[in-house]
Amino acid sequence: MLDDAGKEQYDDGSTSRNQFIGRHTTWENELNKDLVYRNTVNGQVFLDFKLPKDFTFTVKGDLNVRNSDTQTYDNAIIGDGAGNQGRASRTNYRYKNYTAQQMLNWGKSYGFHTVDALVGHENYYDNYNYLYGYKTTETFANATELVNFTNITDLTDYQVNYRSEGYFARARYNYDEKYFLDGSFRRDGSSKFYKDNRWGNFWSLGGSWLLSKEKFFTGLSRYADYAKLRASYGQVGNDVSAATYAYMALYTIDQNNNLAALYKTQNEALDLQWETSSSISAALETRLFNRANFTVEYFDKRSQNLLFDVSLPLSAGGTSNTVAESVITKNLGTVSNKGFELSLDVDVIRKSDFKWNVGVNATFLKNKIVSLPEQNRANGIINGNYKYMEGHGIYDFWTYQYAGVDQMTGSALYLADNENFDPKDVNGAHYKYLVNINGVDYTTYTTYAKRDWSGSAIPDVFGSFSTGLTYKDLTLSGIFTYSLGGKVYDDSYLDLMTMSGTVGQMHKDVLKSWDGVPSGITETSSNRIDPKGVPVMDFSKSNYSNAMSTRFLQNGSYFVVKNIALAYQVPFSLLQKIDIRSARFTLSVENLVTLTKLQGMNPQQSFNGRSLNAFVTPRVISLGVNIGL
Amino acid sequence: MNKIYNIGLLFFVLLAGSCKKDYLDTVPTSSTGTSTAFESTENAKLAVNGLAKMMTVQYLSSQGFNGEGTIKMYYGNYPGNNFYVNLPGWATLINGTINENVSSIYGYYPWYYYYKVIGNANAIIFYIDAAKGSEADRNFIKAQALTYRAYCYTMLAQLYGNRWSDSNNGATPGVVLRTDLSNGDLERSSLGATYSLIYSDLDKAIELFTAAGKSRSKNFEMDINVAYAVYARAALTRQDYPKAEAFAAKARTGYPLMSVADYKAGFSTPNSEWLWSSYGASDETLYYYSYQSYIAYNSSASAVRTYPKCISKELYNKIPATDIRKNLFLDPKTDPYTTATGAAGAALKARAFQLFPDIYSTSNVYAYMQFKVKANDQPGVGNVNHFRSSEMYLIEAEAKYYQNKPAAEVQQVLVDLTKNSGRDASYTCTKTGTDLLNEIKTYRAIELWGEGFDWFDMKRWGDPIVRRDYANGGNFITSLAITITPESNNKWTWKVPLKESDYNGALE
Repeated sequence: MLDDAGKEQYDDGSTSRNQFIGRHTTWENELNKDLVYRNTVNGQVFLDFKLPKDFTFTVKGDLNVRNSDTQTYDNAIIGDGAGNQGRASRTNYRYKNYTAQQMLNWGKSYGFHTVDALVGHENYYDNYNYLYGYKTTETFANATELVNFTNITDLTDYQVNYRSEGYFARARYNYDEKYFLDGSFRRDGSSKFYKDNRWGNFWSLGGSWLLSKEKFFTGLSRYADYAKLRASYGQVGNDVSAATYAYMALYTIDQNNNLAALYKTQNEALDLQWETSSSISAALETRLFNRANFTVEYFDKRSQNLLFDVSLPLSAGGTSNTVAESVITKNLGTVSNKGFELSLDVDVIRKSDFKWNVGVNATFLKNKIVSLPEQNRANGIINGNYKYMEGHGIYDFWTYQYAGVDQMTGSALYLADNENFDPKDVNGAHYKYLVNINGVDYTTYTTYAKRDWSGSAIPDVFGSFSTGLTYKDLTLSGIFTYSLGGKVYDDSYLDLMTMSGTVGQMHKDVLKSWDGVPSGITETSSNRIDPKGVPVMDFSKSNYSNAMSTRFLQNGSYFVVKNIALAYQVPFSLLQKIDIRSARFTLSVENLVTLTKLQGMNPQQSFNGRSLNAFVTPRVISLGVNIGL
Repeated sequence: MNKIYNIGLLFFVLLAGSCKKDYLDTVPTSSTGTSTAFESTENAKLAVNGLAKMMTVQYLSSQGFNGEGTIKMYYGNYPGNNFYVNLPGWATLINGTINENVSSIYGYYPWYYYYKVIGNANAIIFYIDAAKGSEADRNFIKAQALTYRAYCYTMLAQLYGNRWSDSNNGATPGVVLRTDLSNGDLERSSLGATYSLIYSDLDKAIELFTAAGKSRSKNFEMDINVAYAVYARAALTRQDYPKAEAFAAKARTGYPLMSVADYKAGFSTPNSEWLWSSYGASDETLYYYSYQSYIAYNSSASAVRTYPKCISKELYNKIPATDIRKNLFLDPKTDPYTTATGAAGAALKARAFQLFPDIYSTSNVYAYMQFKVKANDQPGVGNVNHFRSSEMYLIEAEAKYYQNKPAAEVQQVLVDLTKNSGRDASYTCTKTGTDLLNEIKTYRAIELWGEGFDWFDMKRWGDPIVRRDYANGGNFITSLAITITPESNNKWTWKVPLKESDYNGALE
């Protein structure tokens, strides 16, 4: 496209296309601005008063101040800002938080006995102020300052305050660096909870035993150099999952016709209390044959009184403007994450100019909901595509059961919900979607399909490998991560398999869509349903074909080449001549390869098994030279 | 001595550090609590204003969801008989096949939106009796909250309940009737019980409005006329014609039909016949979410620029040449356009820009596109009308017709609406019988086009939706040019969404 002066210009589409008229990604990016300014100041004070009788009094404080100022500018020529002759926003966050701690320490050794103890108090203050302004109608192009715009369309400012306070005590004892014991207690209060339930008590107890210091161990020293057994139980309070004013009923202050408009955004939860994160662990740490480190650990990490936004029937009245939900925050029950963690690293070869080390780490994890409130025990709690039920994990999928493609019609088939929709009721709305194939009832509409347990997002085992190979001055190292057994609900794949009425990108699996009855398939063929098939591509049927179901649950197992690095240490003999003390060249690649069953999926995006459209972890290739003078 | 020293030190540490007792008492600044909101009638008025606000808010982080405007656009216009937009990708919504989808956003949006308003109205009704202030203020506030609740249940009943004629006199399921602060399991009431609640809320509201004797100052607020208007609409959908007729007449008293000049002013600013609306202004804009951003012909929003909203060719052709509405849509005359979609050719496009120079510069032009609705500011700022006197006239005419009142009476209502208002100075009506009913239906379609009535009317009447493509005399794109019978698609009844049934054990 040429402008009046005959120069090339971008095409706004008004005469050349039917989609995205008045939009142009490159052009908009060139003219729009999105600037963020951040200032951060951190300060710490630390005072130790040495007192008589082995006492030390410590005062600690840290202060964190951060400002973030975001300025956006949408130009008046193309894109979102064009309609308002340009527009600009300002978002200002001002954060201030500090912690103050006062502690009294005491420690002493008597022969083989070593004891220390500590009592203290701390408080945390967190404040942030949010300011947002929006103006339209620019005076001059390309100026982001709000003075350049003449119409205010939005202007607001508020602050949020959170505080907590805690008292704590700890004591430790060891005998001859062989037996260790420690215990602690703390009491925490949080501004997120109602004053009667604000304080929670937490404690811990731990012990360890250095086996290799024992006399009987000398007989084993041919095999093992070091061995330690440890076990502990500990609790900490958690209020992170609760909103800042979690216990209050809140009416937000909006405005309508320049008059305040109040409506409810949060239900009252006066009996809310601290969630307790407890952890039991027991481990054996060893070093064998002076060449291998081996650790095995058992753990059971539990969240008791889990803080959770429990869904109410939507008819109870929505509590959010952005999500269709009515929720109340509750202490829900207990969830356990337990399992084993193994780690081993071995120096396989250990010669002066040739070394090879291999390490492996594996975590076997089981996630289980141990208890739920009485009223939720029988039916569990549905949460989107998951269902919480005692004995199941929190990321256990609960969704429609995809059977495959009906090769006679190309429709997606799901197991019918005969319990709620009687297959003999010919007048029911569900009846026209019912398909009986060889004696089994299926439906083409998930509304009338059955939901069931469909596996968990949590892998059976995950971990990493690492290896390092050094030959003379060259070192080659690698880190690999893996996960086996979890499932992933891939939203991006669903999007790419769903055709809309306008131009958009599609997945190449669309080419495998049903396209007529294959020869030899009849109404009664035993293979009439193709479980791996892709339903007919017809956007008027997309509502039926591309509904969330087990069809879009993918194998979440993966293997990732996380890092490969090659380093060359220039020999000292060479460097001497040019008067350099050291020189090292490195070449490394991060995130080289991600292998998954469904190519292109990003299985590491979240722990809950959702994979949404997002930037994948970037592949970084770096070349480095490190010279010491 | 040692002990005393140690204990002293310990207390010193704990006490010196301890915070004041109220250290952990923090309060929000962007919201307030229930007790403050209902402390006085002054504050409760702000909660009533909150009900008005909730009808025009950006919802669900998804453009197009804006409160009441969405109901008009996605539930009344798009799936209707006479509203064309070149969006074949929206076939599931426009062709009415998504209404059985219990997890779709379109399935749960009305449920979410109306119950959000109802929940807040319930809180006002529950707490207002204890609020400080005058009895008149309390009555006025309660009456408004009751009218909101009745309105929301009226709309829910039309979406999630069967049409009254299919309901076996109200025996089929209606909706979940929450009237208090409960948030647990609650059964679905029958459609009959749903309308009973609507009636009793409105009876009570009318009584309280009368007792309060106060008047409103803004069109987005409620008063007794709004209660009458909601009553008329509810009664009409319930086929309770005597009530519909009586309340329609009461509702429009004091709200004379707008002038011809006002009719052409864009339907975004209250005028003499607006009974109730939602407020919209540049400093409270919903940007690209708003109703006008989806329809106003001058909007800079891509939903308008790319896909202008059009009237069906058949309905357009029924508008007499002498009617002012004839010029509120783009007649292609002999100018060529792409007949498959309606996209205008160069000559038609040029003519449109000449007729309406404020069409946004990068806008597409379509044959039969509308010029009825116009935004007051970009991209789609404007007030949104919910009830106006014209609808009341049409309710009156229909209600009289179904009560078998003399044809002359019905004809007179139509003449008052169309001729005496100046909308068509040449209008006359001598029709009787079914022809008269069809005349009411036609004028209802013309008068209320684009205001969200289309689908609701077709459902209520039990009439099939018949859309034709160019080859068959219409202007719809082939994939939207279908016939939808009254029996199909679960009798046009939306299913209760999973977001309700998954958490409400009293539902099956």
